[in-house]
Amino acid sequence: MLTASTDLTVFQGVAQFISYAILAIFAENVVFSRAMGVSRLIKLVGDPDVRTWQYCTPVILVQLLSAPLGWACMVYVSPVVRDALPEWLPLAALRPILYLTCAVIAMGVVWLLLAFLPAAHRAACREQLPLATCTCSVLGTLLLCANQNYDLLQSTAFGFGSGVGYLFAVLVVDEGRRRLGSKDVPAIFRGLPSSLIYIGILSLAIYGLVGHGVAR
Amino acid sequence: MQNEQNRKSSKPAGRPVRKKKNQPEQSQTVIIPQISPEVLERARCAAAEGKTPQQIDQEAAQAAAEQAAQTQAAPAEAVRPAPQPKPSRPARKTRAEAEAELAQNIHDDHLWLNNPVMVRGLGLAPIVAMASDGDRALMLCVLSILLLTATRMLAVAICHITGNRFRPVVYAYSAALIYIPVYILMYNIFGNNLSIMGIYLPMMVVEPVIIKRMEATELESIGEAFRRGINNTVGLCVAIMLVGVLRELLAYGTVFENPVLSVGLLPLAAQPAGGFLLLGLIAAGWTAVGNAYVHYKQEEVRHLYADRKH
Repeated sequence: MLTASTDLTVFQGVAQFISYAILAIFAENVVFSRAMGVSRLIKLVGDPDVRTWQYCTPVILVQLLSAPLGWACMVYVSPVVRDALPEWLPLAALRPILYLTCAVIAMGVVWLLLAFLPAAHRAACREQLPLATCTCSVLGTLLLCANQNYDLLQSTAFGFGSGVGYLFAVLVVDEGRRRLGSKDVPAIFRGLPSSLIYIGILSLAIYGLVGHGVAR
Repeated sequence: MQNEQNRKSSKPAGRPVRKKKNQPEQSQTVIIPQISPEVLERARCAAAEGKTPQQIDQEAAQAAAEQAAQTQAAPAEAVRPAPQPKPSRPARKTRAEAEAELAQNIHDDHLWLNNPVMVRGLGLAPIVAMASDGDRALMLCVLSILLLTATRMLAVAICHITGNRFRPVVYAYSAALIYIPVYILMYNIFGNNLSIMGIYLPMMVVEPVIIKRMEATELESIGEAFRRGINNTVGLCVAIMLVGVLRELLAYGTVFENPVLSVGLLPLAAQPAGGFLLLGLIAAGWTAVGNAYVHYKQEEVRHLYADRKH
């Protein structure tokens, strides 16, 4: 039988999950706050062959599943590796390969989970899965969670929120790019320059929420 | 015998030769120098070996004939004109070929016309978020120099082994492997200042400017990977330093911490939002100048090949 304190703990956990997810979606959006994955985003919105959901579904799933792995890597694997390393080899040199391995393991799990999708969607998502895994938004989120010493719940929430935040950024930039294709825009600003300025203005709006400094 | 023949052949055909009074009777001795010392030596050796006079004469005749053949061949070679470079004629390219060559040159120009940052939009994350001053831009440059070309070459070598499969993973892990010695080297160079790069230093291993090649299906050679890697590195470093120095100047009024302006004109330039805006403006100017140059070259090709439709 659940007690009041247990109810409160569950409620606090859910609230914490939601708050960290919203923090990652809006206030610390991977694109607008830290410019992570922006190169891929600009290529994605300009590519008529790839639909938004084909790329963002694998991104969200990989971020969600790799976040607990990243937390486990930080808590359990890193201390062991640090003790085993020679003195001349710092652990910081191995951070990319450790967290990249977490992302690749998550990619394998997501590849299996995508089997539950209809065949047409499955093939499209699996085609984008490796590109969605080896991206700055995934590795950057893992590294950020480790730097911030997030616990398991916070890491998972932040990872999920980062994936959804990336989708949010893609939708916003896609709509803006569609409108920026107007003939009223000077020719030299069309394409990459206008997209960058547009993202910069959106990023400036984010500062209204979090101020001028971002955690690194 | 040889001297006799030479003497006979040396006389002009229909022209009598007056003999001087003091001329010695055995004038054939003056003809001997026509036989080279090598021929004489060979005849002397044959005589020493106990050959008969007929054999000696025969060998001497053969040697003289060989020498004569050589002397006839030598002038012929001397007369033969040396191979001269072919006169440079205008290349008979078609207009389509010239335009294709121009397009290829534009594509290969990673420094200016096809810059990985300003034109293709790669490497934006570290530039926007980290290259906010000259020192950080310099660190990014060093990292790019050490990481980009080596990653590309290692990944191509592994892809040759794996049959070009699992490219994204191969490229990302190649970069992560190369990152290990690169980090140690950079730590020795920059020391604890490296920590100001935060997550953006390890994140470079999956930055598209480093591993963009994983999206291409055709497998390049290692030499080609080296050449293109160097080109991309140069273009990337130019863009990083330009943006870094300009942002520092606008945000703090300094260049590599040396005061240039009394006040920072645009403090926002140090933030990611300012980085986006400034990079967008620089990319617009860059694109404008590049497009003008491309337009000029295309017009030049059009005029040069105006008479060649195909």
